[in-house]
Order: sequence, then structure tokens, then C-alpha cells
Amino acid sequence: MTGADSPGRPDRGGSADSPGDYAADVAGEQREYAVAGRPDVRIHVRDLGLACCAVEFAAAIGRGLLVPAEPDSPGSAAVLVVSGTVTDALAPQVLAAWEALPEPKAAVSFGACSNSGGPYWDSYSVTKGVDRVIPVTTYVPGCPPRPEALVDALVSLVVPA
Amino acid sequence: MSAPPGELWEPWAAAVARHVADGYDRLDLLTAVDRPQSEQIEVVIHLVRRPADGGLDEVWGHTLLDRAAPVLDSVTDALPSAAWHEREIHEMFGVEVRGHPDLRPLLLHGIDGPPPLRKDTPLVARIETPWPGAEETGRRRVSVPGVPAEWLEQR
Amino acid sequence: MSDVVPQARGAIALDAAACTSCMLCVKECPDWCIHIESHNEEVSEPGARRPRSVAVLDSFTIDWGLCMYCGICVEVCPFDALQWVSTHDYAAAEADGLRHGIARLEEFGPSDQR
Repeated sequence: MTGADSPGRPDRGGSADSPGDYAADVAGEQREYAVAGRPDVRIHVRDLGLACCAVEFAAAIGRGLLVPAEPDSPGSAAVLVVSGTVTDALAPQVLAAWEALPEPKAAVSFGACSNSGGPYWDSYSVTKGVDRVIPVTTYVPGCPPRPEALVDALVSLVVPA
Repeated sequence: MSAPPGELWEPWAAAVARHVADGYDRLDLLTAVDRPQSEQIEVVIHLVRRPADGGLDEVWGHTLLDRAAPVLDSVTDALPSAAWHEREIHEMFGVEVRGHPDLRPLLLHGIDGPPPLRKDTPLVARIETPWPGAEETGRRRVSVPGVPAEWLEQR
Repeated sequence: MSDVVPQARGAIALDAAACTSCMLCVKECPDWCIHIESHNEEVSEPGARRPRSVAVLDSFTIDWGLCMYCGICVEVCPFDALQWVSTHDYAAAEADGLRHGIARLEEFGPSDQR
């Protein structure tokens, strides 16, 4: 939940009427990652973590599969990983986060919720796949997918299997 | 249907305030249950207090609203932390909360339609999606899990 | 493909020969992501008085884009035709590319966890 009245959380300028500026978070302050040990895979990966699949993204970092990207590496493509449940309320923020990324760019849908709505396929509030909001290059199956599945998908963006 | 926990608190806001004054000032739970068979919406509260000598006291209370035109008196004067829960009850169950300071949408931004947690609110995806289990050979009539027959008539 | 622990719930493999088209997995799936098509054939066995009606599996599809990997289908299958495998490198460029039929589901097995 978001809201300026929730104590102990940074104020993102959000309110009950606008759920906070996630686009700025993703496009601006957030760290970028690259695949460890694969200098040939020239990508800057950003995580749009919306639900529990974001834990698997974090696990990929924690286990050293993803490492912080070099800040200025020319020729790299931006990759947006949407990990978690996209709700209709948050869909405009997802679109804004995508549009804020520089070209060239690709979007990875990570996990069942982002792929299709997943367990929430019948929900009144969940978007039935992030591809209804932004163009998706690769769909990673899993509930959640393993960190290794994320790395495989990221590598396959650049190096066809 | 399981019996609602605790006692019927009437009038609601005064009963909550009385328990808060009695030291039950920790709000653990405040939610609602749709009871279409009895034409009621039940509102449940669980309050906790910690006595000075240790331990934990708890108390359950509930009230019953007319499902056709449910009105609940806000308890935010006695329990400010109830505000979010009452907002949620308002938008999820279509309950008017009298005396609430701020009933702006909490979760359903720009999502119209009947209150989602009313049990007769159809889940559109379950109506539109054919159930794969119905494709069994030789079976004429099937009941679809999670889909009341009335919903299927809306196809 | 990166190595993962063998217990990983990466995918569910199908043993089509063991499947009797009983539909239990389809009916129990909370996501409605399994589709089975079958037809009945009459089989005459020597010594039997009447031919026996046997269900023949025509298609078995799992939509991995929808699957929540709960494993209920694996649990309810009376004939162990479904089993967990650790395969995880089957991301797709299209959402429809995550719908796998008999051939691809059988490629996931046989499992080291059998």
C-alpha cells in the first residue's frame, strides 16, 4: 500500500489519488545491473518489482548472477524486468517507467502474474499480462521463476539460444 | 456458515468507544463479510489490550448491516487507525461509512463496477473463459468450480 | 542453461503413455491452464466377451504463461503421468509460445527425480 500517511516510509510524493511516482524510481535513482561474467551481453537491467517475483530478482543479485552495471558503457541496451503483479491501477505507472527508458530497450515479463495475470487471472483488479500495457520481448515462465531463469532470458535477448 | 465471533455490539460506534476507553486500544482487525443469505453485511472487529502485569487480552465484536442499504458509523473518533479499514470496507463492500473523515478510493483507482467483495459480484474472467474441465467426452452437464450457475446465464 | 538444484520446480513433464485422459488434473487446476483432448476407441482383447472402451489422448497442453506452479496436477494424477523437473530455460518471445503440447512436455522428462 502507498500513501503519504503511512509512517516509516519514504515520501514519494504519492497520495491516495496517485500511487506515487514509480516511473521516476525506475528510470532515475534505481541501480542498473548486468549479467555476471558475460561482458558480451551488453545490457543495463532495471527491475520494476511489483510483487514477490522481485524477490527472485534480488536473489539473482544476492547470488552474484547479476552485478552492478558499469555506469557508462556505450552500446548497451536498457532492459526493463517487470517482476510481479501488474494491477490496472498501477498500469499507467508501468507504461511511464517503460517510456522513460532510453532506446535501444527491451522489456522482460518475469513470472506468471506479469505474463498473464497468473493466479489472479480472474481478479477484478489485475491486468491480464503486462503486454497489454507495454511491448514484451521475452516472457519468463514461473511462479516464481528461478533467478537462473532470469539470467537465461537476459542472455537470450542478446545471444540467441 | 460459521457463527460470527464475539458479541453483537449495538450501537456500534459507542460500543467500540467503550472498549477503547476500557484499554482495548490496539486495533488488530476490522473487516466485513458479505452474508447474502441473511441479506446482511457483517462488520467484525478484533481489539487487543496489554495489561500492566503482562499477557494479552482480546475481544471480538460485530455488527450486522442491512445489505440493501448498508450504513456503518465510523469509529475513527475513538480509533484513528480504523480509517483505512473503513475505507476498504466502503469500497470493497459498498458500505456507507457515516462520519468518516476521508472516503477517497484506497485501492480501486478508476475501477468502476459493483463492490468486488460482494459475493454476487461476477468475476468476468470466469464467465468469459470456457472451463477446460467441461471438455470431457461423454459428459452432458457440468458444474464449473468457482462459477455459480447464475453467472453462466450471463454469457 | 544455468545449473539449479534438482529439486527445483522448473517445469512439469508429461509421460503421455501413462496418461489415461481422466481429466483429474484439468479439473483440479486452479488456473484452468491444462487442456486435454481425447477420444474413445473400442479395443477387442482375445478371450474378452465384449470390446473394451479406452480413452485415447489426442492433445495435452499446459499454458506456462498462466501456470502458478502449485503442483496440484502432479499430486492428483493417479498414474504418475506428471512430474516435476528442474528445467527452467523455456522463456518465449510470444505469450502463445508458452503453450506446450505433448511433444514439448515429454521433452522435459524423464526426470532425475523419478
